[in-house]
Amino acid sequence: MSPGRRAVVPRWLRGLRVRLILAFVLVTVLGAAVAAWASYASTSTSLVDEAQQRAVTDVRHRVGAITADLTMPPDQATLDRLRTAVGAPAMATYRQLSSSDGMEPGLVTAELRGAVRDRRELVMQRVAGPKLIIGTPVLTTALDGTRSPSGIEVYVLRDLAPVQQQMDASARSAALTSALALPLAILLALLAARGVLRPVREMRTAARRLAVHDLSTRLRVRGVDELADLAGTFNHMAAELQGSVAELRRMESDARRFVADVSHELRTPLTTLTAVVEVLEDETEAMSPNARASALLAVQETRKLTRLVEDLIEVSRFDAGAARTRPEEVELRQAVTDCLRSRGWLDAVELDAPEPIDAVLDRRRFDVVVANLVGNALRHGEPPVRLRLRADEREVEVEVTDHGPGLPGDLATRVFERFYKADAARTRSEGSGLGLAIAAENARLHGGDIAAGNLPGAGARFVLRLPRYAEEVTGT
Amino acid sequence: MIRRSAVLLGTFGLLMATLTACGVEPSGVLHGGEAPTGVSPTTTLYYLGDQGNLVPDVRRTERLGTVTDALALLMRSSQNTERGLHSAFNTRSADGHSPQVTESDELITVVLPLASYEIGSLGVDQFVCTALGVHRQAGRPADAKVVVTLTTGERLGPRTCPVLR
Repeated sequence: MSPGRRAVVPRWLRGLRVRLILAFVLVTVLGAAVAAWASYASTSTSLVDEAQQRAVTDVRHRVGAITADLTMPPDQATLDRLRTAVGAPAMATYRQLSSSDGMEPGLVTAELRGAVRDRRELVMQRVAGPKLIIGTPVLTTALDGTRSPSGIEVYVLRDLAPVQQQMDASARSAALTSALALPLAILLALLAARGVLRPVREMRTAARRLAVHDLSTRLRVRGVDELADLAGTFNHMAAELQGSVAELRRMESDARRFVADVSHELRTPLTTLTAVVEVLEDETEAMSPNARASALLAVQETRKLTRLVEDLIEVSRFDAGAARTRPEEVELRQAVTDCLRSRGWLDAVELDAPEPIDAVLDRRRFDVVVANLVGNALRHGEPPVRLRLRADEREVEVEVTDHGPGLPGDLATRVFERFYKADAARTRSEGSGLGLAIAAENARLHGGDIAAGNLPGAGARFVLRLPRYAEEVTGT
Repeated sequence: MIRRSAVLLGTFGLLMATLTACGVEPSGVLHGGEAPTGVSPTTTLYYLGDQGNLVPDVRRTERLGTVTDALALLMRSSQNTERGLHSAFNTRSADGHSPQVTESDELITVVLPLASYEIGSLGVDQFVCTALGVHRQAGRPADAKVVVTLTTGERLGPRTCPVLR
């Protein structure tokens, strides 16, 4: 069936139930029709044959009963007697003489007349009506047994309407029987459809549950038919899927634990190392220029390493679901100003915060996110960097825009990935590569999010949205 | 599905057409068996010739008549002097009594109002042949037999006619 034609078919006609019912009805009707037709054909043939035979026997008997008493050659009175004995409507003829009662001579076909004359036997013909015309010559038998036409011919008309009525009644009863079979067929089809559709419905439900991550979903396998086979296959698939997902989760959690363990292991020696390089830093004044440059590089790299490890530990906490917010009352304009001032960015950023905003959220995490967004804009974008702070009753919005080249292509979605670097060539940047990932996790922890995009006519644009009055939310 | 509906409708239509159109149809000329027989302008009686042989004598009776009619006619006109034929029975004591005939396809039973001393064996043959001739001309089986009973209690036959084959 073509797709175009499919669109025309009503939806309810396409269901398995309807198709089964139609198929059942079709088969039933066909079967009943063929059976009825066969029985009707044989019945009607035998009915007609029997009626004809009866009429013929009757006519032969009636004629035979009076022949011995007929004067030969017959006169009109004799023909009248013969015709009367046969019963109306009938006609008896002898050469030019004719006696008729209720029978038009035109009714007898030339064909029949010829057969009566030539064949020397009783013949008959069914004509429209339905009627039966019986024609017969009356023979003379000689003493030696040879028979010859006497010249008398008898034609009889018999009505076949009763037979027709009998056949009609038979046809009606056949049709009625077929009609009675229909509800039965529909009932059977409904039962069969239910038997097929119930497993299908169960399978659909199971597939839906599987789609919403209920991987323990299994079907009950009933019977040994194809549907049971399908249910078994479905269960096998679900089990395999569950196994695979469990394996993947285990591997992922192993990897995360490894990162957490490594970070923790690195922190203690790094603390010592930091103390050492700080001492070294104090001593640089006394060093030769070469040694000083090396010492300062060591100090710088050590600090970077320390920050990376701290970021990794923070990320691990998020991954382990151990991160918690500590909501407190915060005045956001002050918090943002403090954040910028502590990092010496007050002059580099245009702060657009027309009024103080009080909110309830985790001050430290808010500070981390704002610092990260602003720091990112200062590092990768071009001035002026603008920070816009707004709020309504339910939501706080912090928008950071710069005037750099903006985020090219698909970067807007990938910028929150861990260790993602926009410029592949610049593998070593000041950041750890985890800043935006941590910022996004922090926003999510508050029940908010960060959107990255470009501001037309300016550069990159990051929008942080947080619920204004946060309840304590646990990270995933 | 549309095609399926069409098939369904077609089947219904075919069924209805079959049931309604299929009635008693007109036909050609059909064979109906043997034609009735039994008309005859004459009746044949049997007499005896000079040598005692059975001789048919055709009478223009204008109808075949029954076996009883023929036997009664034979009794009434026992002598056919015109052709020099005679009979081997004597009807003086019968005096107005007619033979009683019971006729079935295979067997004709004749009760003659004659005693055994009034009829000879050839006379019985005259009755047997006359009865069988009418029987045959009436269209009944040619191999029928005749039993003749006389008033003196003799039961002769079943017999066939020696000159009718």
